[in-house]
Amino acid sequence: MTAELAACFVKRFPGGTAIEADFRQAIKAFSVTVLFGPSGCGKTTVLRCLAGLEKPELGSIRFGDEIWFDADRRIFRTPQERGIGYVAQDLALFPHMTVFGNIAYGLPWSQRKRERIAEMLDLCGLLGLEQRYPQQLSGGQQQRVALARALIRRPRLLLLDEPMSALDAVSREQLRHELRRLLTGFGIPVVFVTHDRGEAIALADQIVVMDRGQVQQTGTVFEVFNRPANVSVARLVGMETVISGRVTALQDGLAVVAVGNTSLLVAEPVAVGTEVYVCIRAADVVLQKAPFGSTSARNQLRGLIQSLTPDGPLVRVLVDCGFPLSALVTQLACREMALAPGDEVAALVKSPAIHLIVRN
Amino acid sequence: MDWTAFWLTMHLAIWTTVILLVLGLPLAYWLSVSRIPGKFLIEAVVALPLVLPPTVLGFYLLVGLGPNSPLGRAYEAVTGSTLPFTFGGILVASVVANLPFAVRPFAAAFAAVDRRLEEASWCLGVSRLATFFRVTLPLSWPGVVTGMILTFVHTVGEFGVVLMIGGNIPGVTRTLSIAIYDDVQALNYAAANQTALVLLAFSFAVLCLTYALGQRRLPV
Repeated sequence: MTAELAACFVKRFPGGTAIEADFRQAIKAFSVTVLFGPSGCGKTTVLRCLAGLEKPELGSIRFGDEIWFDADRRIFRTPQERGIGYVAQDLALFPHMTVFGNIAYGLPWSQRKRERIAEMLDLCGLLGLEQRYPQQLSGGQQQRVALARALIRRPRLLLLDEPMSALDAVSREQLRHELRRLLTGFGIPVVFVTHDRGEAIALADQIVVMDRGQVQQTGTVFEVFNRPANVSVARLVGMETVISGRVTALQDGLAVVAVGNTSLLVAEPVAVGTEVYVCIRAADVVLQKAPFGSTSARNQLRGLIQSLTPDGPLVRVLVDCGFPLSALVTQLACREMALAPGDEVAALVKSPAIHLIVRN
Repeated sequence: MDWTAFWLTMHLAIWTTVILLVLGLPLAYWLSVSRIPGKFLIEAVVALPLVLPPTVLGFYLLVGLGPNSPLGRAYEAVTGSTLPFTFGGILVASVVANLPFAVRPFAAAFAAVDRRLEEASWCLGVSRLATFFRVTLPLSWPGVVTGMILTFVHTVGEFGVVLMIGGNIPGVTRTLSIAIYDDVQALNYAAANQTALVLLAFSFAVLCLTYALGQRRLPV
């Protein structure tokens, strides 16, 4: 048998909701599979099934040669038997134990060596905090304690459920890279649950996109973010503009797609007559105010600004250019161009930046 | 002060508490985590001694443990003696009558423990039993102690059930509260007052302890 984690199962809940999982992951070396999807899509349930905290109704979970769960053969391994590390979203640190007690908790008495725990404390940047209680730590420190507690047992598979959701945005971004660096050293497969796009991009080797209880697409970061398999994936990965169109012609290897009352040139080979969804990332749209200069962008769409919505350091601009198109510009650019609702602008979109999803 | 009755009562209360600790902890834990449909039935049975008149409970225990019942016959076959009107008899009665006083606080304390902490422990390779002793119990001990204290005090003050099944045999089944009743019947108010005062002070002290404990929070 191949050395992989193969999860293919269905977990049903009273009331009719069903969560389906179907993905594989190599387990020989370090790699990260990110379960990505909106809140309530069933990512956590999938992780809990992998941990053995939930028992699916159908299917199987195999880890290398071991069968962790098989509905037909009535096999179910408990969490204790699976040899995993699991960090829940709320971290679940034991409030009545110190940092030292928490980290040493899962070790058998014979392995509770001070040096081993000190080494882990050092690795996770927790030296000097051994005698603190979890409530006396910052969010980032708590997260590292939970990680250390799971890693010190040398698990064969690490399951992380949005471990950074309790942190502020700045620490999250810092910790992402630290986390990947830390985990690389352990050489174990990781399944990581998140609804945060940035986190998924920064950490994933493989992304499993979930929506409404089902796996929508599995692939590399590049595949999923640049070539979403369907409309719901496109929306999830941040293709703000997803609109239906029809391929009307092929021109110099480019597809001409009729959208609304305009047409776009797209660098994707799709047969004429095909009904498609046109996906455009807002960050790939450049806005220009009159006088309109020349540009290398194949698509120059004239339209009126419908609305401006501040979004952090950026401004989300909705332009009606025959179809509603979402664009992102910086606050500064927005001020310099004095963009206001009702203004006429040109939206520039390069043809390779547009992705087509064939409608079925 | 009837010291024989005093020591007998202490004996009864300690044994009742110990037995209910052993039986009550697993039962209470099961009640707090189980999600089976018929759970309310068990909960109702456990709470029944709370609302039943002691005479009703005592009557059924007397019938149920008597030499004419299957249970009574089985006990007689094994030990060669009968349960009613013995110390063993009032101990069984006292355990049944105190079931809710132990199990309900235990179960409430367990229910307040975050299940995710137990799950985290299981995922760290620690068995369910070890998890109970290393995570659940340390986080719920005030509730467990409360249940034990309530059981102890309630046993000391128990009257009706003990009288029904144990009668009034000095040194065997005559507890403090029965001694008081006896003294009053004999118009020996001075002796009754003495015993009653001791019981009153004792109960008050223990309740103070319980509530003080309830106010304490976990460290940090």
